[in-house]
Amino acid sequence: MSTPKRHNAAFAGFGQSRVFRGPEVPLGKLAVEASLAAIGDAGLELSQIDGVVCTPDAPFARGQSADGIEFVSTSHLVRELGLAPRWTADVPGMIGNSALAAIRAVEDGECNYALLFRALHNPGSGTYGHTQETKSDEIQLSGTDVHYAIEQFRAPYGLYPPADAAALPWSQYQARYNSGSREQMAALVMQSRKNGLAFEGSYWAQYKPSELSFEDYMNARMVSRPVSIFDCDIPVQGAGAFIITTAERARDLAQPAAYVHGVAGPVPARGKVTVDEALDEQMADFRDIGRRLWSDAGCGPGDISLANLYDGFSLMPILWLEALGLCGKGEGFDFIQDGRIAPTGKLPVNPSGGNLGSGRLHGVNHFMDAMLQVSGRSGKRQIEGADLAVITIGVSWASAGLVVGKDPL
Amino acid sequence: MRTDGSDKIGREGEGEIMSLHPPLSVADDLTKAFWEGVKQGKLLVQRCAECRRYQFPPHLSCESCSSARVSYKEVSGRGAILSFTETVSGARHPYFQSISPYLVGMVRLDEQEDLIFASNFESKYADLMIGAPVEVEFQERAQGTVIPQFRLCTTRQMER
Repeated sequence: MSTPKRHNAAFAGFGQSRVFRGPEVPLGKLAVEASLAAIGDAGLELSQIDGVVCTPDAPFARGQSADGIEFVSTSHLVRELGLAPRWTADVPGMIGNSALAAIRAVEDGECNYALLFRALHNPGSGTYGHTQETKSDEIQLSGTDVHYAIEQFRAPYGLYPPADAAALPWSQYQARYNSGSREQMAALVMQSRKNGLAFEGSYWAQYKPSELSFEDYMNARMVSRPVSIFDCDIPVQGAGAFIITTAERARDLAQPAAYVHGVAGPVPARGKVTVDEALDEQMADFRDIGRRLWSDAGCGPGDISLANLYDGFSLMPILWLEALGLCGKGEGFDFIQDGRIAPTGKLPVNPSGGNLGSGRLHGVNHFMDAMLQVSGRSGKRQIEGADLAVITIGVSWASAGLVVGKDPL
Repeated sequence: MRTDGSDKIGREGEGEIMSLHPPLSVADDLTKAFWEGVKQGKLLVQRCAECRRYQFPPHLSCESCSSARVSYKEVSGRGAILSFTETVSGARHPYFQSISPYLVGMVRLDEQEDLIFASNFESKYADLMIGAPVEVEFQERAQGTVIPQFRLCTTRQMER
């Protein structure tokens, strides 16, 4: 293990907006709600926010049309809040990408208090949006359609989420390891829902507060075999926000902070037919993040008290468990059994529900939970001895890993 | 050559029957040669003149050695199923909604292990197997377009 780089950053405030299953409230308003809550949580004044960063992307090409409605840029939020930042960045990808930018910005002195926010659009249809939304053939032939670039090799086959990112690698996993049945997967999906019900900001806790039974899971509507509707996170309209500052400044704020111990940023994607490619390609990307993360943090899988592993689709946290060395290769589906990943288990995974148990805010839940757990602020969800947490976000080009701890480095 | 049968499928829309066909690909400067090859019944893949590696999808330069000396070469069109799924529900495009459930997956070409193509399969879900040998065929689609598809081959031994 190489000598770890000393980080000087901390998560020091969190806020989340209301969440909805429809676009009735403009995203800009929800981003403002979340941001004000985060700023208030840290005990800061608006005038002290001198950095603003976000990932404005919707997870599908045609969702982004109006700033403040279907997506939210930093400039929109700066105007709405009347901020005067000296550093802003709109970072493509997922929240991990913008969180890493915020950490570097405060470490480099670009700003003292960075407001990181993520606002996500729930498509009007209430279903997964993606690049195949277009229905008009005229548009498809006019040159304004999306079936350019990589889509020209995917769209004609009807290859899109969750088939590409979840079903194809899962099928490969099953064939390779003779493991990974839906019966086994039920343990993770049921636990995630249960965890989410304990988090007041979860979609499920607010609107459908009941646990998922084994029968519910096994009988769920099939989307792309073996992926059912419950293997996909539920799209919601909502926003989350965080305050990131230096370790020294964090000590003077209103709440105990979560200190950054290590980070690993995304790897550039090689040419791929699908966004995430198949099992080997996804695992190679995840392992690369894991290797660099442990090296940067100066710790290893055995030191971790809990894990917040990205779970846009149910297979992902299992692949992350293996890629980070939290369990052995091909052992992920065995590892998630017998309550091992429950909040009371050997390695709690997504104790606030993750995406699957709280709704698709693309990793807001993972950052929130890790931050509040290690700073001892998780209330009824608090895990005893939660000193060090690992967070992983996303898929290949949008992936990131972080280790946050109770103590500053 | 197989056809998608799309002209037989119609849908009520705004008082008239609209013909439903799969999404069409729009070639760009980098991929024009690929699509022209497909129209002529050839599967062309970029190959680097320096490191000899193939790559797909096409790129401006070699992804392995960064050489700009990449050009299209015909490949065998033989490979094996890398993975597959049956999309039962949730298809977004009306054509794929109309033919659901349908089989879709990825194929790995024999030439190189990371040469991966999407494909639909005309089979039953239960009859498909990862590693099953496949070979390319060319499917006519709407508006005179053609796409490569892969069909299970019965004449070859499984190689993986």
